[in-house]
Amino acid sequence: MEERGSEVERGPWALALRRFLRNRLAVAFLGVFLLIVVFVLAAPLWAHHVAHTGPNEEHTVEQITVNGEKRDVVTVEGKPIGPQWFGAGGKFFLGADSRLGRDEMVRLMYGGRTSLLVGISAALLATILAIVLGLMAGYFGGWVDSLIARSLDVIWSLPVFLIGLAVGIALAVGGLKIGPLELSSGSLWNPILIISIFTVPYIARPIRGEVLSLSQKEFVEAAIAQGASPGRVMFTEILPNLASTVIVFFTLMIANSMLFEAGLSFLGAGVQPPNSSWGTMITVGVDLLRIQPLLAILPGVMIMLTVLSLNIVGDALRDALDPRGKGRLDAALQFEAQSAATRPVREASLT
Amino acid sequence: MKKLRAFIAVLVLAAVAAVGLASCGGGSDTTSSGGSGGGGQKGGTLDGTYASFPDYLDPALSYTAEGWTAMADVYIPLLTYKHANGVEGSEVVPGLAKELPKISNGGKTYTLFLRPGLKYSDGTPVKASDFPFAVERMIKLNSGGSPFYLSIEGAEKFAETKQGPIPGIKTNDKTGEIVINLEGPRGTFTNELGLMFVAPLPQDTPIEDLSANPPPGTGPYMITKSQPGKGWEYERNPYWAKANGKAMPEYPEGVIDNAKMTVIRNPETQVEDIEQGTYQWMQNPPPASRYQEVKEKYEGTQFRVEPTISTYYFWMNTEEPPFNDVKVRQAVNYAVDAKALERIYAGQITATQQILPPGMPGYEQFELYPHDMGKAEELMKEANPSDMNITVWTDTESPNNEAGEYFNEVLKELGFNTTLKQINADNYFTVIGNATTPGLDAGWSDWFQDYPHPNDFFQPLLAGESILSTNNGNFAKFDVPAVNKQIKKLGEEQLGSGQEAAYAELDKEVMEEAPWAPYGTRTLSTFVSDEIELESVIFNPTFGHYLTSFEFK
Amino acid sequence: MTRFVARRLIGMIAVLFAVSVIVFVVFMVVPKQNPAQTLAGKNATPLLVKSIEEEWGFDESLPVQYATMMKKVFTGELTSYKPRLPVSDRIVEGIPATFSLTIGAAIIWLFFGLLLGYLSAIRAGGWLDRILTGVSIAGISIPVFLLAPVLIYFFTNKLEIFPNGQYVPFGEDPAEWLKHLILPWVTLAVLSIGFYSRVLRSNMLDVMNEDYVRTARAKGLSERQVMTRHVLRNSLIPVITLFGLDFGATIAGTAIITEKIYSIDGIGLYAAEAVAKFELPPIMGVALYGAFFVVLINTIVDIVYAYLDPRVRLGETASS
Repeated sequence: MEERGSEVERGPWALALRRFLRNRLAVAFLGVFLLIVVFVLAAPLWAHHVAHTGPNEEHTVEQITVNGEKRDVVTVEGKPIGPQWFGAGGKFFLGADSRLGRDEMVRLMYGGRTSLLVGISAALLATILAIVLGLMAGYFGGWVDSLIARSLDVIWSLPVFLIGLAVGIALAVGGLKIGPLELSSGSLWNPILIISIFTVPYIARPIRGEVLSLSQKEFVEAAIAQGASPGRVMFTEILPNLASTVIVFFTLMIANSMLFEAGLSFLGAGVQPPNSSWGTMITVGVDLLRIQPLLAILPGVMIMLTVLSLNIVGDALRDALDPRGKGRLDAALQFEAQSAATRPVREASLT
Repeated sequence: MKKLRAFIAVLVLAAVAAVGLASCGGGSDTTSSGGSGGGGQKGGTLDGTYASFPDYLDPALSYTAEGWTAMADVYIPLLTYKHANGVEGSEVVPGLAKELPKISNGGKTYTLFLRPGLKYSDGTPVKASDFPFAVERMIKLNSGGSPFYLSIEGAEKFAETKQGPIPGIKTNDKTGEIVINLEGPRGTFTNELGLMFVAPLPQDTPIEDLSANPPPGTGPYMITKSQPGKGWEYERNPYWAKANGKAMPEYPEGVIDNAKMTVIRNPETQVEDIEQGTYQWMQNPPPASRYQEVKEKYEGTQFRVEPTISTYYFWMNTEEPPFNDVKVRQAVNYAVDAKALERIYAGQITATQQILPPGMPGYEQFELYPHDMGKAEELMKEANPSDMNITVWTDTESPNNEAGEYFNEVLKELGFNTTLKQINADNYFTVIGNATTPGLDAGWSDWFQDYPHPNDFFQPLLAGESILSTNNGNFAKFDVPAVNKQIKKLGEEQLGSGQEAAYAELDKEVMEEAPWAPYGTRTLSTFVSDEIELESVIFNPTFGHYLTSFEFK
Repeated sequence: MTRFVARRLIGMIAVLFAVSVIVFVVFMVVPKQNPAQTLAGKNATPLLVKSIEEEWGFDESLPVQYATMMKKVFTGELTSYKPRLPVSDRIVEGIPATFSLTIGAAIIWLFFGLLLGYLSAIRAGGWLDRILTGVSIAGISIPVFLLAPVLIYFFTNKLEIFPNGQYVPFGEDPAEWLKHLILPWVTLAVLSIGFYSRVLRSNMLDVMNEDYVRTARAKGLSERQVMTRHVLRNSLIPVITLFGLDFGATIAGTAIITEKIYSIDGIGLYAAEAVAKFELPPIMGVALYGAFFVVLINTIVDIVYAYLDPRVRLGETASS
């Protein structure tokens, strides 16, 4: 029970933080997410000091010494060795990943880096684009709004996965060359770009809605009356008020992007070998499901945990930043905001 | 609250009931239709599976193993291949023609006679003039097989103008005589007459892709229903018993009455289905992840390893650095470890380091570059190539993609700075065969014989004249005048022991230049359910499993 | 109202046009590859490639090729490369499978999603709510291509209850049709149940705090009457419209991965194979078919929503 005096002093951010911290489930999963981040960041350390191998090094015909006994990393019949834990000093902790005899633990960590990198970058890029588009559409209105809104509609209506798949494969084959911009076919920017382009409408629409309603507020009119340029108004007055929406969407979109990337990689349109991500690891593991189920389940569980944590945290952020009854958006816009936030997560996993 | 509980209870009951209802349909049962109760050796319906629908179900167009297996006993060309396993199956024997062709005029004229009394599955009599019709139809359809027949006089002009008839083929419907004149001698033409591309068809057959509605054929079976993407069905050709079977007594008539092929895209599922008896045969080999398991459990009873005439190799672009230096290429050969690749293929390849594979006439075993990483690094140091940035290519089909990844790592170990590109199997060869694709430095490839003649390996893959700007097959861009001359010379001669020895020499000569790092020859397999008599199944190296060889126990 | 509908129809045509252009550009321009070469096969000569180019019109300029392709779309002549068969045939053939998959899964996910959402909302904050919310969020976090193989592994391989994918037409054998669809239905449904339950829960909680609900309670209506007459009705409208959007998307063939893993011969599978083989005609066909359905159902949903909720209708005209 806070004292009356101190409650009056706290700003909205501090209040939001308190609300968030009270949600123990969310805090716990935030911890899980941070642990995952630490796990993947530790990849080079593990690879160098414990496993003594890189993520792409193949050990097909090699043998390791487990408890004094020599064992094939990949048997003559093509079966990769199972988890050794510390039996071989940390080598092949989780076993070999496939008939190529690579260290599963090392790949899991490096793959996680790729998955998180792609997911976060795509979400970040999409959010930035969405903010710019949403601000312009909502503030200027008129033909600017129509143009932007219609373009978003087109993207929204595209059979997202089909096009993403097609573009992904096209890029995997030939790379991209537009004027000075050049991307090789194995570049991680390919899936990042594809995912962010398709994610933009989901964030831009609700932002546009909020900007629309904020533009009519008095403080904006006051700023314009004082002679502020549109740029100043958008970025200094309106943008800060979008912060809570942006934070929530950004968090949820990371989860969405990671699932989207996994789906694309499964169909060969996302991360290309020899780069690996949890998505590509699942694809390889599914083939070996009967021989070594862990190879598919481990990366799958990692994706699930990460996405789960982000979803729970994102949900909790939304509750903390915009609780019922305080500063709510118009019902229709809120519905749209809500459905837009959760829909892409569902659509990416639906496919 | 009570209502809520009751509601949930009903729901749970409903869910359980639904599951129960679904599973009481018998689960995975063995009510496969065939081999009907009691000693039925004759007849029955074969239920088979393919992992993908053939590229075409039209004899003039299909150029894949699946297509040829599907149509082998449906469309019989003038000549055909012996219905036998292994090397025997590479022998060309008469098909619709009475005998093997009489070759005259310095190898430029082929004379054959059509057997009398032959009929298509719709009752139409087979005429000699049906042969040139089939050739023209194939060329008009722009079939991938047409290049085999452009050596026929006037065929090239026909291919350009699509205006017939082709002057090089003369027929007489009354006597059944067919005379083919070639522009120049072609040692492989007899084999090419045995390919389905030029199987005779009735002259009212539409000039379009008939994969959804295959044309009538002359074989013991006919395709009665085709659903592209899903499957197709066979029935006995009624005119086989009435006419063709009598005219071609050496050709097997088949035991089963019908067959139904279903496309099941998941090879693991296919294996499951055979084990459970839901289906009786799978056309493709078990996937690498199940191969050894199936082999151990069923070899001899339901499973048989089938050798093929094929070479799996890594090519290197000899025209540009770094692979224009023979030392670098030899280093790569020393670095590639065939043992590792054997494991990557789960035992489905046998290591070999030559152009020609075992089983090909002219094959003589040798090993110029036993695995030795030390020697490889030495050679690399000596060569000291200037350009260490390369692009490595492979396709997406397992385990070839893994072989490609292996190769990529080997090159990295040699010090190269590599970029790996994986292309979908359907497009792979066209992409690496296109000169405008940048970075064609090194990559994976395979080659299965079209027919058992060494020229089929050397000419398209290693002859200088085969280097094309599009649809190239000579990925190594290998162009050595002495080798080209030898390939041309041997290609014109009919195959005999002298030629075989010369080919063995050529094999070694080329491998000394090491345009490739070959690593193995592939084995395929026969896997049938326990209802099928394994012994009787015939696997032809070119046409796969013959429908006529299946019988129920 | 008619102006609204008219505008939407024009929008639909614009979207379809945009989709066709985008698909065309992606496939023709980006990979710099000549489809004639793929068609010509491994043994081709330049002459053969040229013939194929002439036959298919690949040697024409891009705008001309686009126009020819669009014309073929309208006359139903659009053909795939290997085999050379009409795209429309395969799409029509694939409809029963995709529809069976979608409708069945949709019924399951809607029913269970709403049920779980309802239970969560009326017990908001309690342990049941937390568990159901957890389950829901877990459901949307699973990648399809992991869930499906695991389900197959347990139920088909180990326990042998269900068959291994494939689609059996209803007309052929209703019992088999059902048996073969249960795992795919469950796979698709698991992912969506979580989503719908959270949306309904959230909507219901919002509505339950509205003044008019409190008024209704104060007026003396029973809890059940309050729930059904006010809360549910108002919470369900947005859910139903969302359902329409999702249903449209799935019918459009977006369940590519599910169809692929279970080998269900629907439109999604046809699309996946076409993309893998890099054949433009089937992809164009499926993309247009898909976009058409998505836009159609989106439009219907918007119309229905506008009809039901005047605030939206008015809101839209004010800001646009």
